[in-house]
Amino acid sequence: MGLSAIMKNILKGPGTFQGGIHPFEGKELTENKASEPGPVADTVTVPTAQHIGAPAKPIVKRGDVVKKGQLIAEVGGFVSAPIHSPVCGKVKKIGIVRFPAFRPMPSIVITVDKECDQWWDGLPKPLDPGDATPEEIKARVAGAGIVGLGGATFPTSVKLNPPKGKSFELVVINGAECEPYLTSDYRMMLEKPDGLIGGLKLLIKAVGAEGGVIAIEDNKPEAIAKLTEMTASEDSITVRAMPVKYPQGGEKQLIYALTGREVPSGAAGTADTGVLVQNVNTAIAVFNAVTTGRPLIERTVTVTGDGVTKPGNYTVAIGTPIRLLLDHAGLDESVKTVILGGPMMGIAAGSLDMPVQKGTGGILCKRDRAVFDEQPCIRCGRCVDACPVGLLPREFSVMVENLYFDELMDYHIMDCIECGSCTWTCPSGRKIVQSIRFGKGEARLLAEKKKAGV
Amino acid sequence: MTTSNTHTESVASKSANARPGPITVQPPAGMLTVSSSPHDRTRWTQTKIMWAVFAALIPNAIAATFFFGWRAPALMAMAVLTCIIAEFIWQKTMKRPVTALDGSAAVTGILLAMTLGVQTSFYAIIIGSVIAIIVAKQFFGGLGLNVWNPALVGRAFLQVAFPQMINGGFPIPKTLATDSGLVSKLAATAHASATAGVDMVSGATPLMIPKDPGLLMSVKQTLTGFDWNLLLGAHPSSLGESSVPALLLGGIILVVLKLIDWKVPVLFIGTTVLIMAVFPYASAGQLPNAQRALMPDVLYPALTGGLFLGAIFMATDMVTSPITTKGRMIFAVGAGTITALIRMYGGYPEGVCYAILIMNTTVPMIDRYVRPRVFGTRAVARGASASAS
Repeated sequence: MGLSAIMKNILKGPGTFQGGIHPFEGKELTENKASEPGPVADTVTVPTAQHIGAPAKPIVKRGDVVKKGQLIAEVGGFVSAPIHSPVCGKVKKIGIVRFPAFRPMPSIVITVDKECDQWWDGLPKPLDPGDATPEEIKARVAGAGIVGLGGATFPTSVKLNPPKGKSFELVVINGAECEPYLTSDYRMMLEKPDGLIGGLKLLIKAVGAEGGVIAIEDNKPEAIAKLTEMTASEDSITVRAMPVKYPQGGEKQLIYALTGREVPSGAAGTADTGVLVQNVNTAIAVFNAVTTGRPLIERTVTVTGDGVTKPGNYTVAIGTPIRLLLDHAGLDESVKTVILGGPMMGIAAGSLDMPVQKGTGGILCKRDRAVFDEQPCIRCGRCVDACPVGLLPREFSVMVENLYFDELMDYHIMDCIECGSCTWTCPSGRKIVQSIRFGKGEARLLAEKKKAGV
Repeated sequence: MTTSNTHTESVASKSANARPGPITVQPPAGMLTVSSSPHDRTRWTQTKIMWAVFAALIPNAIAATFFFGWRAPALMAMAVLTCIIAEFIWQKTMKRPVTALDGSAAVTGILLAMTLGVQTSFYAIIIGSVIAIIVAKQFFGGLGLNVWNPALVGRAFLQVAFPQMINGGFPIPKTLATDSGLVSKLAATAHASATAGVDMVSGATPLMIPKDPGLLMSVKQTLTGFDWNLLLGAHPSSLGESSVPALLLGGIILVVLKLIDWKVPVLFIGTTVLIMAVFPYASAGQLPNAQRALMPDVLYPALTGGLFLGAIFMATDMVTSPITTKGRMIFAVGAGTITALIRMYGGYPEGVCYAILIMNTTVPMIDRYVRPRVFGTRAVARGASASAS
């Protein structure tokens, strides 16, 4: 039984997207390391804003004893997600924790009771995935605090509820993992394929789609083979191998490559294309939330780079200070940059006391850093060729350098997905995407002023 | 381990003392770098690209040495050195960051030399190099800011300043003396020149020959069949125009390394050849279809007159060509058309140099109005499943 005709009709995209780059991959450091438990911290710092949208509101207070998986902060608005305690322990402090070069983090700090391993008794009961209704699935996803675990951390339950009049006909599992060095998605594809496929099926049911596809870049042949084998008998689920190119894992690029549909410029979500994209870990978390009732409290983090002597994929509780995890992985004293995420879009950490969050898929430790010497633009056009959105990055770079913001909107600056391909490829070492980030703020301000008639 | 923001990249571009550095550095101990992403970069820097282009011209330089003797590399070296020194002096005097060794001056120098014949005097090449670097490049603000291809501006200047030296005819390469008899064939159609060297006969370039009325049919008669020596590079021409295989080798290297867009040379050469093959043209006093007599050899206009040199190395100069693929294609077709028109109706058998300079002038306009389509700005194709069921 092959793939249904409907699915084949949906999946008729060109297979790749315009532009893109091929940065150094570095996945060989950790791709064959099975995920293993990481260190257990003495204190966890659980931020209440680990997602896009309103921060969650704490419902515990100082001194409260909490159990593993206990709800400690409820949703703070429509676009929000709840937070659960990753450990058994006692609430030590609720307040703002500050780290250098990062926004203030309202957090709940919990001292860990290492003797206890009890789950909270207020968790919802396990459900049989075959019996679960779409509403139940969505409710479980909302209740478990699941957010986009590819790094965007958009609350999944909100994503599953498209605007009125729009619906999803395809669910895509984003197994591209196009960021160099990161391998946690890959390891999960190999180690928890049942959870992945089960999660995909639950998502398909939850949004009423025709079917699902697992998209994997072809530098992961083992995962492609395994999942293809496991979905061979399915008529509405399939696996697609994609050519390796950064940023193939970008949501819009992935949708286009698979289906040929473009997310409209300025659209808030992907509902206009009828395609829902979810990360591998998110799908597995959805499966867990439904079948075990347990919320999202831990994740597998790829610790890698030449700054650690034991790179690997470590599963740790949310809130674990990254210092502990890095020491466990053999942090070299000469490390100069610690990046939360991959080298293309990751955020450089200003302190090793920062906690692992829901969106922390990897920590890249480098003993050196790339120098962007910002020479004049030589109009080579490589940024234009690299841009997956069809923009003219050099225009943004030169305009912002000259503090000329008037035409930024005309050149569609807001469509930039900040993937960094332009900056990576620029021979002159210009900080293009950084200028774009600055430029977006100025352009928005200018647009508001214009609207207000100033 | 303490952290600091002070080692993020600062206003390097504004600082007068900023120098291009290596790609990765070791920051001081005890600090974490907190720059904004991305945190990695391609290894193909400006400098590497320029020197790679220079290296791709070495096969051609070797061919020039082979066909034209030791004066050829001497001229090329003189041009390269003068360009580098001129840039250095200018940047030092104007207190700007010195980038003379980044490869761009060297490429300008060697390309300028390659557009000139071996008979060019050394002082002329020095003057041309200085014009190319100082006027065509540095007056505009340096690398990245010039509108016109500096090497071609230098050549155009020399054309006007020393017309006899540049256009007076190119010596027939020495090495042909023992060869197939091409020398005598060409000599039969050549103009003797009083200023030629003792053992060289000054001959017109093959492209000059068709335009001269009485010679048209005699060339056809004397060049029986296609002579491969012509293809390899043994014909009177400027240093860099003679050897198509050497130019092609350099071009292929650059395309494989993704340093030039292959569409530009292909469209440029293709357009010129197509127009000249399809449209009959007349030299003064000639019948329109006298062209046909030479046209079994459609390769004739392609292999001569610096078309390959210009199309592969000058039209692909990043600074003076458009930044979008569509724009580059327009540029190439435009340059090819103008080259053909100049050769057919203009008074000049060359054309490539001026065609490129004219198209350089249009590049700011091309870049302003030719833009790629932004992703997400066309109607979403939804409802495919409805039509399937």
